[in-house]
Amino acid sequence: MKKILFIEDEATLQKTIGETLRKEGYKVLSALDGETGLRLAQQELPDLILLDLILPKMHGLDLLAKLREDEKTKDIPVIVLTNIENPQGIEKAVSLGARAYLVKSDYKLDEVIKKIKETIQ
Amino acid sequence: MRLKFISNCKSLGLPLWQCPQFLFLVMGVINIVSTIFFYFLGQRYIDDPRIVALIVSAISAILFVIAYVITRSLEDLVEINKLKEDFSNIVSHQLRAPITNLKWLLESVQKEKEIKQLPPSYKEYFELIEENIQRMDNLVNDLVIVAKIKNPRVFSKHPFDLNKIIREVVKNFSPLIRASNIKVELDCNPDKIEITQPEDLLKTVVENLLDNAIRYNKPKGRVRIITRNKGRKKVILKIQDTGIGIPDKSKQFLFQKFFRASNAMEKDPCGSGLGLFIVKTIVERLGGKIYFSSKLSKGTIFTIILPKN
Repeated sequence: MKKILFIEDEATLQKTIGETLRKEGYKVLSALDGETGLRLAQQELPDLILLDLILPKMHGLDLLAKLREDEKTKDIPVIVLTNIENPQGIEKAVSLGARAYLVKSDYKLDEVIKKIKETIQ
Repeated sequence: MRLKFISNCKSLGLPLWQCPQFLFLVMGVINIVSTIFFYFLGQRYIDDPRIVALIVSAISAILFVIAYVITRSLEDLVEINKLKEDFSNIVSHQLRAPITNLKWLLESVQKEKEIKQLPPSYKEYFELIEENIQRMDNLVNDLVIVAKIKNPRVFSKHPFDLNKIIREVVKNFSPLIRASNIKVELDCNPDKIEITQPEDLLKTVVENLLDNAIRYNKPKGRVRIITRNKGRKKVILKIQDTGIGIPDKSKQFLFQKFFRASNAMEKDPCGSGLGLFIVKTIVERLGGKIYFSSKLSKGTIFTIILPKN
């Protein structure tokens, strides 16, 4: 069973996306802040990380940079899922190797799940 | 150069005595008048240089106070700008987050088997919830754009092919085009029109006009997008539809914030009424002009004339 780590401080989204992914047959690990997210990523080495940017304790982009510095986590595919739409953020995330940058309000839940499936394969 | 400082001060929301433009003018006038005045005064009536030095010191003190007020006003303006940016970030993140939550929750609830077994009236309720979420989503997205176009930094320019942007926008709209059963034709001549303008903002203009042309069209209707060079320095962009048209009494209000024509509200209750205001604001900030002609039940043509650079 493939493992997805979902780092997101919105409990509602954790539930909605988490449940949908579980129904699709994935094991979903949840982190509600950046520090917990980084720790879980290093311990559990998931097959994909779904990452919000505005997070308590550590910003998503700092977390992404730390993942890339660590030999164990540097190749884990990351999808950024956020409501922040500024070009600098997108550029930075892409330069740090994010596979996709999805602005939440532009996507339906189905489209997000489809993108996750494509990336994890 | 026309002095428009009073209207500029009003637009900054500052009283005249705190407005940097006005105060600079006052400083300049005091400087010139006092120099000339004391030149003649010194020549004719004042023999003691200490008195001249005293008067010059007094004037310097006045100018110093004015300069201090100007600096404080500029600091206030910077602070106001920062608040505006903060507001824009709050709107874009904090308001969007619960809307996305609602949208995705509704989507996942609608997939549940039990929901599919509910009586048809419930389906209608779900559609109403979805419609209202969409309304909030549209409004927030448009407010984010309105806040964005107030920031001069988004107006940074670079060269790009206008026709390429139009093709990209049409491609992104293909699900809506198919769902609305509309035919979109491109008539771009020459094939490549290079302009130096803010690409993102031009994309927003095309997206808004195309969205309207599709949304307020009739089934099996047509949209035609035309681009042409106008001389060497300008470009014409036309978006023509065979839609519901604009009632005569609504034409004068069309570009106003939050205005929606009655037939547009009937056709699509989810619009925010900000789309055409955004389009006009962007086009004018880029040094262009926008016109439209429309016949009720026949269609509308929006024409934009824009400098290439």
